[in-house]
Amino acid sequence: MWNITRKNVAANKVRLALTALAIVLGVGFVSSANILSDGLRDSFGDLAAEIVDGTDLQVDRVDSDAPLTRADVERIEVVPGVRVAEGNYGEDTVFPVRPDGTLVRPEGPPVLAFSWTVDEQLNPSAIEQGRAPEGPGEWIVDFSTAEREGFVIGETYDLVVPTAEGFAAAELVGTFRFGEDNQTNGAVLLAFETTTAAVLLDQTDFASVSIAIDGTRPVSTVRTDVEGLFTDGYEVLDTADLNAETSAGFNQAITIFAWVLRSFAIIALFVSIFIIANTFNIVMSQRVRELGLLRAVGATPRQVRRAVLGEALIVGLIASATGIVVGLGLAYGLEAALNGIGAELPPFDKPLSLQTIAIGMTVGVVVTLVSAWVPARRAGRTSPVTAISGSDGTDAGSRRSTIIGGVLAVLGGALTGIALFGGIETTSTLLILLGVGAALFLVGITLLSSLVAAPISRALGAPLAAIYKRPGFLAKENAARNPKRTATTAAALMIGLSLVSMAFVIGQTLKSDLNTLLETTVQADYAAFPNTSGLVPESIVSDLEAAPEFDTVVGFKYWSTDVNGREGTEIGTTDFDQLNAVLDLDLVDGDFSEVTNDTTAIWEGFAEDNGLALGDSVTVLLENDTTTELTIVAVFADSNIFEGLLVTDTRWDTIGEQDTFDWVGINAAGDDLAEADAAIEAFATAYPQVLVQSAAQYRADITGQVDFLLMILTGFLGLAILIAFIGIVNTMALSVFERTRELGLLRAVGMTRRQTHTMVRWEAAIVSLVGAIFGAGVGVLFAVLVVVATPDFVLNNLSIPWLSLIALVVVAGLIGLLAGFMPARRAGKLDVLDAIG
Amino acid sequence: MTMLESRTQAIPEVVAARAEQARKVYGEGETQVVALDSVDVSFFAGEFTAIMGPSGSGKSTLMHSLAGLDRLTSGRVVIGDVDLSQLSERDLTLLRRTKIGFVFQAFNLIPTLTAEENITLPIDLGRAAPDMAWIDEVVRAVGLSDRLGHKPNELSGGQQQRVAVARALASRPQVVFADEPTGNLDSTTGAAILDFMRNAVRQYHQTIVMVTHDPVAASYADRVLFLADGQIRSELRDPNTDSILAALRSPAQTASNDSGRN
Ligand SMILES: Nc1ncnc2c1ncn2[C@@H]1O[C@H](COP(=O)(O)OP(=O)(O)O)[C@@H](O)[C@H]1O
Ligand SMILES: [Mg+2]
Repeated sequence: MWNITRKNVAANKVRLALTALAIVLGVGFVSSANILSDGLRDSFGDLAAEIVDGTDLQVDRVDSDAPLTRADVERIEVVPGVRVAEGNYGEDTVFPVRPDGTLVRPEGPPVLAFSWTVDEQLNPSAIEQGRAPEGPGEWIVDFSTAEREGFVIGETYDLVVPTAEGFAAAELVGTFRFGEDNQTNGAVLLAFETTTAAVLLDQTDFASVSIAIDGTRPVSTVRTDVEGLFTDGYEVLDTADLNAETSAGFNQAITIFAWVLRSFAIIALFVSIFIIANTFNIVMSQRVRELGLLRAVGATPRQVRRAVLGEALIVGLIASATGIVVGLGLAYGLEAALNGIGAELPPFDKPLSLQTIAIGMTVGVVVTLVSAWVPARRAGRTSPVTAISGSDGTDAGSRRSTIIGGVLAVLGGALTGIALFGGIETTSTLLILLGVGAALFLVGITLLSSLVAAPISRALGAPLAAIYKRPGFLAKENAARNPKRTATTAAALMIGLSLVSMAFVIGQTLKSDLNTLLETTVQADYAAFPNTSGLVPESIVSDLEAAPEFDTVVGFKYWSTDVNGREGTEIGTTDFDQLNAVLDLDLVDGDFSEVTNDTTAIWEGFAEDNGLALGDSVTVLLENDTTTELTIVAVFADSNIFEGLLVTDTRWDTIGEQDTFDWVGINAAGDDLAEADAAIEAFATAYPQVLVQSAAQYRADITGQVDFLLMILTGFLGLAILIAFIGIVNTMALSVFERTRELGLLRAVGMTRRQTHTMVRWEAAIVSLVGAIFGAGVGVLFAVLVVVATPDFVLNNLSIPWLSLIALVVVAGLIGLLAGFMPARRAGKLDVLDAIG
Repeated sequence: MTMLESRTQAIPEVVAARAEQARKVYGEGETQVVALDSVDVSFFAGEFTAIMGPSGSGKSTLMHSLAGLDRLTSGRVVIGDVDLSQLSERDLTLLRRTKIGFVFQAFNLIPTLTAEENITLPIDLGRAAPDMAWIDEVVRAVGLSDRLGHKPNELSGGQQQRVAVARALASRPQVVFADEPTGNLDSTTGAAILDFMRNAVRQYHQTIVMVTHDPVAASYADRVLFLADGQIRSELRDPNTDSILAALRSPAQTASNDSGRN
């Protein structure tokens, strides 16, 4: 008896530790997301306070059309109690150009350009070196950026600005310090004299007016008077309001960031539920005699259930507490990792708030209790007879769980469908629907998969029986003998891998769409895109055309308007004479050369959807709110670039207001691109606001970005996969314990330790492979839905990266082998006599 | 040696397994238990030997040591001409697979394997080609041809034990060890198993060593050894139930047969 107790305790130690580990990791990740966002919020909160510190009142435009001019500033300045008022301009599309032609443009933090506030109290910044900007052609920059970039006072630099010209040269006349210690959190700050700022930032009205009072009247009184000067469309804020508003702006970004982290944590916790439920289920079936005995001596089902839930509660409490501590460490790790991939986070504290602790404990305990709920109910239902008869420990999928599984899968699928195709506008509603739908679907699939887990395990294990003979055969049979257990253990891996494979498929689709675009549609050798959030200036087309290295240069402009009452229909213009040289839109009917001011070329898909054909007319809403009829003279099939109407430049001017290009296609004059490459390089320097790339560069760029995103996503999903790994270790350890006698017998009749290892490790690998195959399947299904749901110019032709998916499955198999390592060693070390005694 | 001289039958020539000065001590100091106390014993090829003795007398320990499942504190066990104390863990396992058969009291079969797969398990664990003719013979003898494709949980207790005996015989081991193989069965079913075992000895010259509490079961053997306090106290040749019961009742057996072991 002592022997059994000892074995029980030893097995429970491992079980408890592994169960807890899943919760520890999940809670740790949730906590670190909270710690990180708290820390960043504090850090940016300090920044916000510093920005608004000296401003007693500020007038903001609520309505973007409301004017706010120098005259308004003068009206404010004469209000009694106002010491000084200054108008501000600000813009985040100005970028300094390095001497080598590249832009100073950090990945995360913004580049902020503004007018330099003259009044020292109002200005949160102060000159560090040199002097303040005093007129046109002068700028200053924060000293950290100056040091980092090696900007020298007295030198002239190019700046990309949002004017029609696109850039301006200006002399750096000084550097400044923002606040006490230039805590810009990575942002690049630059400033101009106010009138210069208006010109360079292409702004006529002030964004706001800052006011300092002289102390003769209370702020509230002055505020009322200033408010009296303005009608609707403006608001007057005091320091506290400003602080709240500035912080809110930062907080929104931080909140999004925190939710991205949290969603990975939620996935990890979701995976944990499967693991914990599985562990409790196995342990309950192993303790069925003990539970039966309890019931036999008079324990009510409720008492038994409570005892089990009590155990879960203890595990949950200890694990959550540990998780919070781990979360603190993870916060540092995450900070390093995020900075490692170029996030440029500002330095921040890692505060462990009461809220973080409360959330961590609640989440951990609730997840554990939810996981233990079904096993606890089952334990409560144990019949007292099992005290004598025991149970065979197998748990084939029951009819009930099949029905529940089917219902959940259908319900989850429906919710996912509504989210993707229901035309839901709110992002948060959409994401919640998607998440809940996918979660229900996955639970449903898990329950259903126990129906097929046995045959799939046998099929997967068939080669093992051939390679490893009896041990391989036994590995496969063992994986198949408890379909529910195998299905649940595999499900944990399935979830992580389904998301990874979905990402792989979507990534591959993006890449292959890009290839199709570049191979079939785009004929241009080069394309020019806006390098900043601005657009490509018209002058670049004539400049490029003038260069002998280039032959055809065709610009494209896009807009959207109502066509035949369809809101937001894409409408664009280009040079129809030269279009064919840079773009093959796959003309199916008519002729592009026939497009005049009263005619249009139309995308086949749009024509089909609206029952239109060559010769028909469409009604187009113009800028002046009247409409015009355009006759269709050409129909094209390609949807990679454009899914709407193409009109002439003159017609365009009556529809859209934009006179810059969205992109420009360029063909080299000769076949030798080397010369053209050099010329393009020269243009890049001349037009820093424009990014000119060859097709190959563009492809490499986009492919690189897609791969980078995939890498990050896989990295974060690694946590879910790690938890699934723990789950496999746990299940295998429990199975080995459960089969002690059987293993002893096998060893007695001549199974070597190595064969025992082989048997257990491959069983784990099979379970893992079942999860990987389901994961890949579900992932491809999800990806198909996403590709169908998104517009064709985002994701068009589904492309499945078979090699990557196969690699993923192989890796999953290896993960399984690795997960089986420890349980296999335990199995091999079993004392034969103990086992059979 | 008086023990051998007391035989009434022709003495079998070959020793299939033997223990020399086998000593097994559990625990230390105060709690020390001497489970086997310098046992010298030989088991002859083609003979069916039963080991009897009160609970705790060391029967299982002796069997486990002989079968290479447990190691002695001192002394040695020789199966055929192989000294078990010299073998590595792996070689011992291979020896169990090829030279030794087992029948336990219960839980003899792997639940995921069919009856037939259980029978051939020791052979299947190795890479050597199985002797199909012999296996067919054993399977026929076991008399379960219609149940061979069934899993253990579809077989009765008696059928399971038969399969276990067939498994023990399948690799034509040097010795088969059985620890109370009929302990969990009713007497009729038990008798069938014992018949089957005795038949294996008679017909195929198999060597079997069986531990039992039951004088009826022991009566199927050619020879009965009586164990007490870790020592062999006496033995009977060609026993029947009465002679066994008499031997068990004899208070003198403890001392009288001491001369058998010097
Ligand atoms: N693993 C063990 N640890 C300690 N003592 C043991 C162990 N196995 C057996 N013994 C002791 O050795 C003696 C012989 O046991 P055993 O060979 O099982 O006897 P039998 O099979 O005749 O009942 C007994 O006193 C028993 O308590
Ligand atoms: Mg015993």
